[in-house]
Amino acid sequence: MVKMFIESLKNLTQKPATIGYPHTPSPSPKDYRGTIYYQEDLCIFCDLCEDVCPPGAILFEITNAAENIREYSYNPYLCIYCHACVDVCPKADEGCLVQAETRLAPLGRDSTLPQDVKLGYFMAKVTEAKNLDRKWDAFEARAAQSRDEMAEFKAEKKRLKQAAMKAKKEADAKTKAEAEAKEEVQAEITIENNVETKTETKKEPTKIASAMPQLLTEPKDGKKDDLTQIKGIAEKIELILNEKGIYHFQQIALWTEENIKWADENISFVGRVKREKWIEQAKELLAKK
Amino acid sequence: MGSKITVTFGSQHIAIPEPVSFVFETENEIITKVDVDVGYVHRGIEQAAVSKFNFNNVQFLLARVCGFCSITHAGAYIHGVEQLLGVETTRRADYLRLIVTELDRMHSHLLANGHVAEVCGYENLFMQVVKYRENATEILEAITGNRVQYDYYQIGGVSRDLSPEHIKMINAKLVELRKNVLKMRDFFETDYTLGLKTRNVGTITYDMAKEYNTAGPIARASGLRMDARNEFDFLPYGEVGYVLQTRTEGDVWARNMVRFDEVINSIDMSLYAVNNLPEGDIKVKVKGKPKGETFIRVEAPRGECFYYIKGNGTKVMERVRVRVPTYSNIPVLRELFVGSLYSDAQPIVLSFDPCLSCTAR
Ligand code: SF4
Ligand code: SF4
Repeated sequence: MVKMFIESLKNLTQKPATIGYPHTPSPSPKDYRGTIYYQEDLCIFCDLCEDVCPPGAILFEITNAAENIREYSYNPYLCIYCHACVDVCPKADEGCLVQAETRLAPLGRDSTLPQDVKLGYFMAKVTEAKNLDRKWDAFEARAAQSRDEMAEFKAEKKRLKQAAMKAKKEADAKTKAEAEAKEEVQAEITIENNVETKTETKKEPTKIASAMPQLLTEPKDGKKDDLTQIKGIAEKIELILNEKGIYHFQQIALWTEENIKWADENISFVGRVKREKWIEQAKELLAKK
Repeated sequence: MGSKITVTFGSQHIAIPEPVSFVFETENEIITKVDVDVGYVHRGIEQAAVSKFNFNNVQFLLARVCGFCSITHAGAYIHGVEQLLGVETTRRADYLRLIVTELDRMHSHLLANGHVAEVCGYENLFMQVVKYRENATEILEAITGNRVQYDYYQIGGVSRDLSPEHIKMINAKLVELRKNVLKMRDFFETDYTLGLKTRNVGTITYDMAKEYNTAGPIARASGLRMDARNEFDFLPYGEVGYVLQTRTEGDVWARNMVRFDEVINSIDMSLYAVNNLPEGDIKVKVKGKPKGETFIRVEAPRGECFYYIKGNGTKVMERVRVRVPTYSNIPVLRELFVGSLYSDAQPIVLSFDPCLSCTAR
């Protein structure tokens, strides 16, 4: 008791162990884990930082799915300063993601927000501290939606590519089959009667090659594409196509060799589909949409 | 007078900064019945760990189970994941982990002891302890980059290395801290007025400690020789001079003393580890996803912390179960209250160093 009493008296004469915060600034130690700063021109958009961030303080919004353009956003008030993002960033050594040694001042209702491009697009756009968390929530939803759209776009692209591949393969197979048939014919000519073999070969390809394309009873979402945008399709032909159940560019874009034959037979304009490159045109229009 | 009065202690009480509620029924000054409710801060962490986070992120979440033993929680989980992945950490990483874990224990124990002094009305002793404790937290801040949430453990190693300046600084500060802790222990040990409030108050006998399954410094203060650091070799305690500390009195005073003894031991271990740091990398590369189940027992400042984790070979764990030491200390606490003075309730609770955020998670 006496010892502590003496110690306490000593303490009275010493200068205080505490600092006079906020009048004296709090000391900022070396290597302190602070705010994350980002530099866009160094980023390779690998998304590793987004995946690793435990509270989801880093988000990329895909602003243009076709060209894969992403915008980095960071919420310094959600960040737990764990350093995980800098650890995974392959470009961190060059300064793409850097952890500063100080933190931003805590968020008050009326505090002015830092305007720094290195904090990402979200912070650059937001000017008022009020309801910042709600704004971030909205942004989060937007970013998630942009990701869905991206996924859809990718799936679509893949589907188109596969369809094109399939068409090409079949076309190849057909030309090959035709070539083979021709060879056979020529071989047969030497042995057999001309007339018989010729009629046979003429019949064969038409027999295999006609198949109905994917038809709809009504346009998807109730809105049909303007098919007349394809050069060669006039209003009348569009009407016929609609009658048969074709409303969208996508449907035409997916036509295979067999489907073209079907069109030749059923819509009665033999050869036009190929000559006027409907399928290619449909694909282009689809990409532009 | 036979009339009984019900006194509530918590859920907000000036003595503990944590939400726990005791409802005492008292007769005069004596407590006759007690009800405990610990579930005020349930945060659904276990569920979040298996739904919202990938396995390599869960340690950041678990570190936030508790501000004080954050390193133990993250550590326990990471030991488990490393077991499932079959990762061998380097010895340097092990030593660094040990240093940070022990520093964490130091500052936690010191605050717990200071708190007991505070609720006994010995404010200046509390201030004194906290002043000295600053050395430990400053070291932690310097080597991990943060004051409370260290996020130092990573799967396969640790996040930062020690530089020679760090080692110099740690040596200086720990030597100073050791000197001060010895001084503090002397105050706590010999102080007459503090003794009136702490000696023979809330005594847990050896049998009681065993029967009620106590853990940590509370068990050791009753002479129970149990410490997860002694049983498992996740960290190289055997090499750095670990000694199991026990006292036999079992009262509030003994619990304080055990903590001081442990702080001294931790300082010695850390000093040894810092000066005999093995060479090598601080991190090894980790591949794969955890599959299988395991359990881990580590010694948190408050006692034994138990983790059960189960992975199914995907990115997300299947189960993460946490059992924290305070939880196993609550039954005996209840028992202790009955028959003791109401005015002693605060030192008794605080001498358990309860951490209710962890208990409810
Ligand atoms: S420091 Fe941690 S919380 Fe902050 S942005 Fe990086 S990964 Fe996310
Ligand atoms: S980890 Fe680095 S390079 Fe990759 S997206 Fe994030 S900031 Fe860009």
